[in-house]
Amino acid sequence: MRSGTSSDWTKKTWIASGCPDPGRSTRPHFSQRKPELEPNPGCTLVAPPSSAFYSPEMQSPPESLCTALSEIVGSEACLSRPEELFVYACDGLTLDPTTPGLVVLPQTTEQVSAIVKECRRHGTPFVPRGAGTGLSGGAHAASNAVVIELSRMKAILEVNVPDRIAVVQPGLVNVDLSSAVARHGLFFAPDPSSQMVCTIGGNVAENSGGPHTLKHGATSDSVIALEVVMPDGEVVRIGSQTGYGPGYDLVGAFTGSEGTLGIVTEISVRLQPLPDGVETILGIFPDVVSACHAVSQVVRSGLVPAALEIIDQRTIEVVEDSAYAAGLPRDAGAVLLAELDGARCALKDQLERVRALCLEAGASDVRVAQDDEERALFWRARKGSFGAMGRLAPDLYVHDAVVPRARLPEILAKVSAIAESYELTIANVFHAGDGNLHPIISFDRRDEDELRRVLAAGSEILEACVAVGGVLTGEHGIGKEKQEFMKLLFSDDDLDAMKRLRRAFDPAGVCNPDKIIPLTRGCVESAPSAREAPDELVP
Amino acid sequence: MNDASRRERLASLKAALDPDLVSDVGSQEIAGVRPSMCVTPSDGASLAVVLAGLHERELSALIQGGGTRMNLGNVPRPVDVLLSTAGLRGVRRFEPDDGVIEVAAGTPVVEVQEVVAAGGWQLPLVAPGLASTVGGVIASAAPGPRNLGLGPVRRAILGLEVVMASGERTRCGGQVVKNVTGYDLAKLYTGSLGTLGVIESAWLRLEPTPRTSCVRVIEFSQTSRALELGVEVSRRTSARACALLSPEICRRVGLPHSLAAAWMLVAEFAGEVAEVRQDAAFVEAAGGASPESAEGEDSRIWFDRIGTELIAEPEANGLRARIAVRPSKLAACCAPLLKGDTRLVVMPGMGLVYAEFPGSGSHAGGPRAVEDAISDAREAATIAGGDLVLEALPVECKHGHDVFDDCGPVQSIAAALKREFDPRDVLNPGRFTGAL
Repeated sequence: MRSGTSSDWTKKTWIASGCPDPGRSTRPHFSQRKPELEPNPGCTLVAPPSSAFYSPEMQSPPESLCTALSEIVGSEACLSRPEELFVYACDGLTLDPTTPGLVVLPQTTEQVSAIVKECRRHGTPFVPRGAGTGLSGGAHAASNAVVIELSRMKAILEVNVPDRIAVVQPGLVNVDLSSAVARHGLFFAPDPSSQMVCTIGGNVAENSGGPHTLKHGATSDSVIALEVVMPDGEVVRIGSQTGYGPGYDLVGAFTGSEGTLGIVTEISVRLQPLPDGVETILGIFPDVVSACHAVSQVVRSGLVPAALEIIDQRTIEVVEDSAYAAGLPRDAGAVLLAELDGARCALKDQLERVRALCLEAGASDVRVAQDDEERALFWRARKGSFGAMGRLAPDLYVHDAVVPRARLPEILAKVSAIAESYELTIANVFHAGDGNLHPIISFDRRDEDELRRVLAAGSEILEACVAVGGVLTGEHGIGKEKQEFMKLLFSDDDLDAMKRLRRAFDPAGVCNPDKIIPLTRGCVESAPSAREAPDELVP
Repeated sequence: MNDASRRERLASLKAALDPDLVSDVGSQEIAGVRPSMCVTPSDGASLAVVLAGLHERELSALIQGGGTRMNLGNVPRPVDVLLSTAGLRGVRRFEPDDGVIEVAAGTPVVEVQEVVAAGGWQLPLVAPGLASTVGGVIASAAPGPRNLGLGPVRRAILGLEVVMASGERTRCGGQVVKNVTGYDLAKLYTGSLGTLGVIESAWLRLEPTPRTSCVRVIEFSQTSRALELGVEVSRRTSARACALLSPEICRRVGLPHSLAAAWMLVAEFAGEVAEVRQDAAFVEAAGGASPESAEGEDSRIWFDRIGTELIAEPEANGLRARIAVRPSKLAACCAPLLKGDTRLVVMPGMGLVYAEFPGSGSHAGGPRAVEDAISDAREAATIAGGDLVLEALPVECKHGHDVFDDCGPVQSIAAALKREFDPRDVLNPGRFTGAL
């Protein structure tokens, strides 16, 4: 798959790590495109190339492993032909595809355990995968790795209505759980935009959020217990359905670990009651900054909306030209989609307060959804934004970063300036209520210069977010995409602490290796021991 | 390490530290151990120096915040130093427009509450006592009644600065309310009783101050009806706290009750005016009434008092056990406990049963009586499929028991974490599950 000499590798990691500044952060530059990258006009989501190290000596898994895995799952569920493996070369991050060595599709926890044990016996790393909708390359697997795809484990094992708990398998599609429990007046709160496709297991891996995270929390707020196949193949149960199990919060540490601490095979989640009432409001603003000010005022006022989403003018234009058109005013600088839920008796007063705050912040109009149909229309425009963008160009880069809410206007101005400096068009649709940005860049990766500018702009956006107290990701995770950017935010000691957690679960380092933690150290001077090379792979 | 060597190393540590940080600890026992000296770092840098010094000399420390939950957990193995976080004090940054705050770990929660209240916010950490510190509440993560409405402790934490057992200063998380950047170490440190690192500071999420609040009470003679309505009341949208109290507990918190009452339900509602009124009316329709000081800020006294009860020493050197169950199993859990002098506080919405077995009456004082009480508590937890913690009992009765439930195979993961984060057993040795 990938070839090169040691010196080629050294050059790439040097470029990836950049020149260290004094203090905690370094400045990665992902401006070099890997020369062997083929144009792929069919892909719509990309991200900067990572500095992942692919050993020239990496071999495909041995034939004996393929035989052993076929005996566990059946030959039809053990994929080894190139045309079968090609499908698994990437997830939602389509840059830097790497075809895995093997793919297996287990149906039971026992099969997953047996698969992991066989992989360990053969010294082969493995990568769990759900629906493959992740946007940070978390499910990418090297040519020597086995992908363990969990989509066949999709049952709802139990719905405990009195205790408001559901027990599900990892391959269950997110929206299918809420659909199944709706008749009991319950729902599963995390609602990422990909919820029609993404799996609960993937939600656990990424600690997925969505527009309603603002009030109802992310996946970690809903998960109470897990059955996990550990990286040595043993099956353990962590957490408790009571919510107060003994010991360390292993469920909390596991959720969001991006499939690097083990493979989840059963998930116990808290369900929430469907709200008594819902009000959805669309504020029309002359620009994004005034919409952001409205958000700040709503947050400051003590209201806790279920969602606060902003769509900018560029996105409005694209959406209104697409199948997701919702009648948004094309001349609006931005729209704010605010949703309130809770006791019906209290909603009208809250709605009027939001209306007043929007008007005070400069809204020219505030529309209230009159019925469920209109509410669904407002949301279709929001949730269809990314899909609408797909018409503009062969490739789409969906950024993900979080800043303090009060800094949103400043950062959006910065994003705009960065776009202008790199001669790019950046659209913004984002979870304003929790400061979670999604700058979106449409481009054509076959234009090498444009790709270089897109990646450079992405780096500057992340640096700008971190500079105002923000973080690298609110939803998409680190995966491969941003692992070297971790040095922007964390010192070597901070990262060492994360490695300690990882080693406690996976001392052999075989479970989805080479994700999250940078593969290179940061500032040489801050490393525990001096090194001569400008950078070095972290063992 | 023999005693002489240990004394030498301790002397070496003392000589290496700023004398202003070192004080005498007296001869009293703390949490069942007698540290030789007290060290109170003044900031994160000096905390790092102290921990590095302990690590290097293979000495150990008992970590103390406000001292309100020192008896939580197992009796530690003998420790050399009492490490107090009292010197890590103060609000570092308050961002009222963003609803977040950064606080040094040794700051009392009540002080932080005063600061944020001035900005229209409340800190969603439940302080068991006036001296309870932010770091201590995070490290113990013991639930309080208001966690029903405020959410668990872990939800309040956005980021932590933690000094490792070997002295490195680290941070995890951040100051924003949504974050999946790297591993969520903050969740690991929360509730770890200081056994993986010492919290230096915390970024915390704030909740808006509710527009109004009130308390309503109902008496019950039947346990089943009390539990059933208790769960229902707990699930009202503005329910911030809900507890069922047995008669003796009512007496202690000053709630008058009729002789026929087996239970008193106390519910605190807080939020938007209309929803609080609606929820209060629900309780009134079920036979509820307003106690004294039932409205607004005054109504806080009831759950402040109930919270204080939950950390008080059990009567006559008895036992207090906390059993966590699914709400549907509350009746099964309570049934075997409703005998003799056992006093109960049940938080039905959270599935928590606090059982106090006094050291007198049917469980006459002394170690043997506490053993019986422990058996009763374990039996109730087993019947209901619950998770048991022996929260308070005489130190001499802790020996030979793990106050936490058996973690089973997962204990090996916990042990691996302890080895990774604190390989020399510097921090609170023996205090956590499985004597970690």
